[in-house]
Amino acid sequence: MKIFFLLAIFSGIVIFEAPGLIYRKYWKELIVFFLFLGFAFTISLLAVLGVPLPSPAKGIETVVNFIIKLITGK
Amino acid sequence: MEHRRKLFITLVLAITLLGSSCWDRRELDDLAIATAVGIDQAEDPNKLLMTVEIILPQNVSTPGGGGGQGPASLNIQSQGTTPFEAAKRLTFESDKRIYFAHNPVLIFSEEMAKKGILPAFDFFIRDPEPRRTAWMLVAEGKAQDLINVQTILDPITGLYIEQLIESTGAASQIATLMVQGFLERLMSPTTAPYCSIIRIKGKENNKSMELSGTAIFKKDKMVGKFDYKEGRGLLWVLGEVESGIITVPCEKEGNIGLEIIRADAKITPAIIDNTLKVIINITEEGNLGEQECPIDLTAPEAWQSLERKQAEAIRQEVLAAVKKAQELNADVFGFGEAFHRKYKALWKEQLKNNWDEFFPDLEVEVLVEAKLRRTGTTTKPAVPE
Amino acid sequence: MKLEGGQISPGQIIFLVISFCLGPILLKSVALEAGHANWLAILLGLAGGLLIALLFTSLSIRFPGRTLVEFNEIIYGPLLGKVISLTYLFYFFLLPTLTLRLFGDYLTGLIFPQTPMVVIISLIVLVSASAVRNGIEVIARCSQVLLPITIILLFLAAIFSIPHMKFNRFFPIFEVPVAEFLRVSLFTSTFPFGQSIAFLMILAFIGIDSKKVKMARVSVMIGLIGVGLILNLLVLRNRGLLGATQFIEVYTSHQALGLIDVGGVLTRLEIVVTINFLSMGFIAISLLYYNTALGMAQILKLRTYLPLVLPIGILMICTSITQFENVFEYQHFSGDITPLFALPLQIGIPILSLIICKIRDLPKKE
Repeated sequence: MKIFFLLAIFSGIVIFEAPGLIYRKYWKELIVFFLFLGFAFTISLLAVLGVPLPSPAKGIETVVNFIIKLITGK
Repeated sequence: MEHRRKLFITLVLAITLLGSSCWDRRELDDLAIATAVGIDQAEDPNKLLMTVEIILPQNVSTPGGGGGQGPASLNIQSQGTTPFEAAKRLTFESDKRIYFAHNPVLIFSEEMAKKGILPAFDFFIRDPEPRRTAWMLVAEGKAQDLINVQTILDPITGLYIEQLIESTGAASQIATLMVQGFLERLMSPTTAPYCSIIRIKGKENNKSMELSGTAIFKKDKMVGKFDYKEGRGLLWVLGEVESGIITVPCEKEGNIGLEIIRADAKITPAIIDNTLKVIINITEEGNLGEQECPIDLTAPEAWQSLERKQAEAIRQEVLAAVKKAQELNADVFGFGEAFHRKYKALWKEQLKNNWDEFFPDLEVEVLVEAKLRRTGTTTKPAVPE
Repeated sequence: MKLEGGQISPGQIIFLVISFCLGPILLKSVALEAGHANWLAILLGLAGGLLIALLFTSLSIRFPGRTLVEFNEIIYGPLLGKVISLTYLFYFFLLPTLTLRLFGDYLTGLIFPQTPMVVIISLIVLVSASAVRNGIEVIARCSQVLLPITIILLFLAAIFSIPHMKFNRFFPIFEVPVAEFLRVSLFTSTFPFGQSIAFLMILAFIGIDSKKVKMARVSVMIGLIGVGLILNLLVLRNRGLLGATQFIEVYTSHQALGLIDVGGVLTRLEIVVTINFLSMGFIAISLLYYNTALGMAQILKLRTYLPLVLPIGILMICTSITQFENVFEYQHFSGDITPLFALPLQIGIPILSLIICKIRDLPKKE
């Protein structure tokens, strides 16, 4: 059900964006659009399926803590 | 372009119509609005008993006449180890969801208050629904009996109690506190919370209720109570006296009643010769409200002596409250916080953690400046010259 | 070729800066770690924020009409410039996800307990996406409409709360160690003041008229001072209403305004907080969302940024929901980590850029 809903949303976005790009022959933009949309779809599909996603916040936290360690030497 | 816009609108409409609106719909007829909450100790010592008064809207009479038959409110009860559990179990007895957001009074039984209310109190501050502006009360006896009283002046007991509390300013002899104020005092390391005490008056079919004093807490445990005189003493120091009558004796017989018009107070902490001292400055203005004795008070000397008598009466009330508070070792006046504001370092090093040792021996000086302004509509008493 | 034909005036910049900085912070008192001195910490933070603004506006004055992404490539070369721009874009992407998460937690926690958070967040993102697609002019005009409403409501709430205040609650003022106070002030200058670095993307739409560009710098400063004043009004109001209990509240302003009672008629003003937070948060989210979409399009040298808007929006929704498991992770990250992550972006790289500009004598006259 959720996946169906997700598919509906994403096909809605494609129908909304793609025709204009094709009409204006913006092929590069179209490719980038599909790349981004594909990425977003993968992420949201994983989120819907309950797969734990890597959190950018935690990544930053690790980096910041690492740098603090380097500076303070603790 | 045109068909894209149509498609977009269709999509948005579809999402909003199909996907929204149903989660937090709260219709008035699905809610049971709580107008009083009472917490008692249940027979099982680990459980508490929650009594909630809910409005029956169909029976509430309107000013234009009408209204239904039967009582305007209904009391329901449930038991639980915590208030939240009890609150959720209330739905076993009610077909509607109990809605706490308009609850005006929160009543703890005296037994609970003496045991400590903090465990039961947390729900009422943590949950987003109950109001922080509800009044705190301690019931002499059981809270459930109190809520069960059928009040006559207002058919809804909770609203009646709210009115009682909100009109205490007329006599200013009972200190009242809302949940938020209670919480703020609870969070201070020294200041003690207080709240009003309410009790049932009358017997059997002729019951009503009255406010009978001020409950004094130490941390979250009730340790004693102030009577009417001490209650006003407390309010003088807090600067919260709104109105009231001070009675002073005439020279020979009878009494004189002086109406309080406005009052203010200032607490000044001081350290003199290594001892802590608090100076309370009270300024008051009053009117001559009534006199029982047939003497002319409007002469300057008599008027001034009356002012002095009034000041002395106020001083006695304050000293009574201070004495009682020091006996209970509960700093309801906020003297500790006054020292905190003025002597930061000393506070941090010594006072903060040892206030219980300092407070009972604290020297308190009360300075009252009382004025009498007017005499009402007459000057001299109605006696022949 | 220009991605965006919009043009905004220096006056609109003031509105945008104030709404943008107020967006994520209207719910809570700021700099509470500084105890009763938090209003002082805010003033000190404002001074720091003004320095940061002075720094980054000198970049925008050097490169009039160019966005952060464009002049990064001039300063650092195509490759390194893109990497640095991507770091900024990541920051611009992360900030609104924090605000969105706050939205979600607040609304599901206090107002719509049964509604799934994803629905609330998606609706906000949908509205923002529509604003972003319409361009910077629309966002600027939204802030011109919404900011006056917000300020009027804030003032009314402050006036109504005066009778409930106790003067004693403001004292004693200074109780924290100086080092802690300075740390809090520094963090305050990175957030909310320093996040105005996002305007490096927006100031390009002032145009290339050098007088206007210089005025824009003044506008940013005025905006930041406005933010500081409003913020002080906010924290002093909350302190006067709540006293010591403000240290245990999750949503300080919400609780504080809940106490207001004007003659038994006007009660429970916390809805004012919700309205203000929604309108200002909407501007803050839209602006950063716009930055991310536009910056990405400029990095990839696209002819339009519109197709990127919705995918980025969906990524924002996913990130904001999945990046934190609970409220504490969120508070820890937004309170302790974000300022450290933001410092090099707000101070380090702008200084470096200016030095390189001086050495290489950029921008070269054509």
